[in-house]
Amino acid sequence: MTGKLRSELARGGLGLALLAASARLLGGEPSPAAEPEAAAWRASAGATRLGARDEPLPSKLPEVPVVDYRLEVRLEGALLRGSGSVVLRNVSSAPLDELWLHLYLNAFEGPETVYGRVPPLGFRGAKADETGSIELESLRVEAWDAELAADPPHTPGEPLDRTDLRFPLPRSLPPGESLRLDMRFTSRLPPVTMRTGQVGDFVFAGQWFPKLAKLEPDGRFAHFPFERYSEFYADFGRYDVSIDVPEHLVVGATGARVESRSEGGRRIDRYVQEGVHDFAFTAWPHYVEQRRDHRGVSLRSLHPPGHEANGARALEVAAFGLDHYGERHGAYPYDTLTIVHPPEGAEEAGGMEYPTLITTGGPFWASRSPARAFDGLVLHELAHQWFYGLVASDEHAWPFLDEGLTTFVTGQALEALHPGAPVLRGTGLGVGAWDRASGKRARHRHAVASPAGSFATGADYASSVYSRASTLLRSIDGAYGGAATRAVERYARRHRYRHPTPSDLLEAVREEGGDEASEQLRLGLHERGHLDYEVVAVASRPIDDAHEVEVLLRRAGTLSLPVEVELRLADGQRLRETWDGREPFLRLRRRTSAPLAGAVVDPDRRLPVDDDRTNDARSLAPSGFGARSFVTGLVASRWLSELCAP
Amino acid sequence: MSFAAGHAQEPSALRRLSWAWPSVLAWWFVRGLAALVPALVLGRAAGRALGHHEQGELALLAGGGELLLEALGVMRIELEALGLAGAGALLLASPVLAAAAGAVVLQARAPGVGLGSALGAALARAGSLLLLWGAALSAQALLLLLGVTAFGGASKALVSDTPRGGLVFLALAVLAVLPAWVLGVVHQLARVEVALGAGVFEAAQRSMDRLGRSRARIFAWALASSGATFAFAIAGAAALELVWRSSWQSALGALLAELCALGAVLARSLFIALTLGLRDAEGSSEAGAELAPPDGAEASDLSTPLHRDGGLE
Ligand SMILES: [Zn+2]
Repeated sequence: MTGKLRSELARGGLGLALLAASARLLGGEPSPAAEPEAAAWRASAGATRLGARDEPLPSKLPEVPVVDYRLEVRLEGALLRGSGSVVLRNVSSAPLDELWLHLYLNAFEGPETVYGRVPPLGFRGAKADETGSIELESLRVEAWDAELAADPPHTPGEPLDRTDLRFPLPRSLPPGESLRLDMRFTSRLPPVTMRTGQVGDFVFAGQWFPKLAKLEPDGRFAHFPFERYSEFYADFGRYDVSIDVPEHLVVGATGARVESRSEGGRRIDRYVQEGVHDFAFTAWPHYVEQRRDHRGVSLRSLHPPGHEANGARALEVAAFGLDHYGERHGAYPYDTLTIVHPPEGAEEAGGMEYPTLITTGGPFWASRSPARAFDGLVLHELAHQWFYGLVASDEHAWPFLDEGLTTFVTGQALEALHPGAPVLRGTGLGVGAWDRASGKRARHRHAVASPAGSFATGADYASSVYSRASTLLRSIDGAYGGAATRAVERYARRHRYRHPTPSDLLEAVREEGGDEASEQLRLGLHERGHLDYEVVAVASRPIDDAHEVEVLLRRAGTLSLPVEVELRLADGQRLRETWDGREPFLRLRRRTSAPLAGAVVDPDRRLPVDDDRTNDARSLAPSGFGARSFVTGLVASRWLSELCAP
Repeated sequence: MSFAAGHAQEPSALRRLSWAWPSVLAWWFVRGLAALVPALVLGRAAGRALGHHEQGELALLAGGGELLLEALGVMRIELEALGLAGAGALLLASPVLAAAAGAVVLQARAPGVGLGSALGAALARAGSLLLLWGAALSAQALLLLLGVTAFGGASKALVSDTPRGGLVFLALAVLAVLPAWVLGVVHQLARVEVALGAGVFEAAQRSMDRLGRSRARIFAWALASSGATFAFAIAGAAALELVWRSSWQSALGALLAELCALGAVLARSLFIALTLGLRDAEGSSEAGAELAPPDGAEASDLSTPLHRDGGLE
């Protein structure tokens, strides 16, 4: 999910305009690809096949899903009246004596819920005075003739929170056996906030039904209350949902529509999808629909009137993304993809991922803006179909596994879609530079691999989990020849329809880049690993016919990535060496044919994790004044003066 | 009695502008001098941060702009200092800037007025010119604030997130800044009167009268002048792109940017010359007068238009 991506790209555009130093960034870059698809195909045609893509892809789903939901829901304003059943198969190795159900919408019951107590501080969802809830009116095991009741009737240890409930079972459910739960519930959607809700005649229903917590292999449930910065975690299953709405509403939902019938001024659309772990839907009378078929996937764009350009662009970018990600992380296995652009006033429903359904956002001109924010948003949410959707890591325990990997691969997709200008049209501003700057904001305050609830602020969460994670992966790529990219591909293929953990990612990195690469990434993710290379001093003196040159390099921080060092001689020669970076400093003495002019560490900027770029170079004859900045300042001040003192 | 007949004998605006070129250059120069302060701060900061990099400041742009983004973060304090230095320099320079504008008026009024005497006379009026500037600027700020507030309310109610809404948005935005812009035009007209000796209040009144009489022409000129200034600003910003290329392109870019700045001063001076023509045509009894002593000018200017107004019935 990302509200962050959008606002950051927008803010960045402004900052750039401010300092016209970016003017040169503005020049000499290739023009944006007129036909992004064509450009992408050229790019992929030229790419060599990487070993990681030979990783076998689990082609089939488990024969019997872990969970099988059959729900009917009737929409009445902000109310959802639901009934139906869920069959749970005990795929764990232990008998089950209890169940855990998430009633996420109860997060909006009041200001004292676990969610309500935490302010956004730099993350989505501005207010906490919304009202929303979900009442579970009945939960029954017909086979045992038993009505289940929550004990305690609230989240354990949180008397005012009812988002994480335990239901003791009257008897044990042995491994391999299944249990059908029949349920009746009423959900009251809040005014649109935190991805879900209702405003006017618009509805976006996310986390709207009683949802079983994820059953882990040891028989425990991975359960947690709804938290401000946390997303979700659930078992793969089959969802068969009939949505009953007033006839004039246009509906979009997870999965494929298999049936639609009208009766008494209402319409009932039935959507079915296997191999997913959530179900969301939207309904609004004013949606405009655009469709496109792309290699067997039926793409559907739902957007407000006036947003035709956004809707069309979303389809175009999604088609590109399906190919781009599909080639790398395994083909998209579903038949449908719905892209929803929420209307004005419902922006909080935007920038979110659900299985086979993603939401975008932005003003009507978003897709025509020189910033690539809209393309980036579509590609980000689409990437989640892999990192979250198909590779269903625990978003509560390891949010970086979905958001960080998504940020990493989205950056690469943007670079492929807009070669040379992936952030701002006509500029060389880079995604990596952007991630780096965003990732630095958290100043190593938190380990990237931390649970969502452990971040002090939303800004820290976003900076660490999205940007810092991506920066670390880019740096592993830079230091170990693309090992992170290949590892993420292998990880995505190997763990399709599974629930991997950070150690699975580290294992893939070890296979692709070796033990050291994996260890460095582990330090970066788990131990707040950081790094700053610096050229401390340079010296050069003539000896006989030659010159003795000396360069003192220093490494600060806990990471030690191999790095290149370039000695620049006065006659234009450049000598390059690699430093393994293991020791805290290196005194490099060489005999050269010409005097030394200067030295630079990481000359190709392969390690964006380097904390301070200004100290990467040292010259024997530094220039003390920035003439270009001076002229830029002069021009900017002149025009400011023109404005204030005409 | 014919308005056209009197007008025909007036020198053309371009001719007036040709008399005033020393003051135009002075205006451009003083503005540059004020801008020098923040520019020096920025140049020094950039040199300190990037002096060791082989590409110098161009290192900002390497690697996707890593250093640029970093510099914006690191230089936050310098940027604040830059803002302060800029505001201070502008404040210090404003009397001279106002006088330079006044000198343009005086030189454009009559041929052969030297820069020294024009600037001297304008500096004598610097207090009034400055007062006018301050009053106009505060009033503009107020109008802009009101305009933007009204715009905020109106756009919430009227602007939908559609292409059509976008047009409404633009129209409302123009309406929001329009009053401040009109006041800017009045300021320019009044500046002419103040330079020629009128007090701030009379100058304002007379320029309002003049605007009332020749609304179409004045607004057309002002629009052209603002449009040209805007175009020069865009061109100046575009010239910055060259500044961040190789050294010779850099020098060319700096030159072009300065020419654009000069162009903007010229556009405004031309507007002054045009309104001077209008003014002198109105006051036929005074046509062709040399640099008149301020007090005398004030007395005759005050009576003439009023008198003429009656005659035109
Ligand atoms: Zn995301």
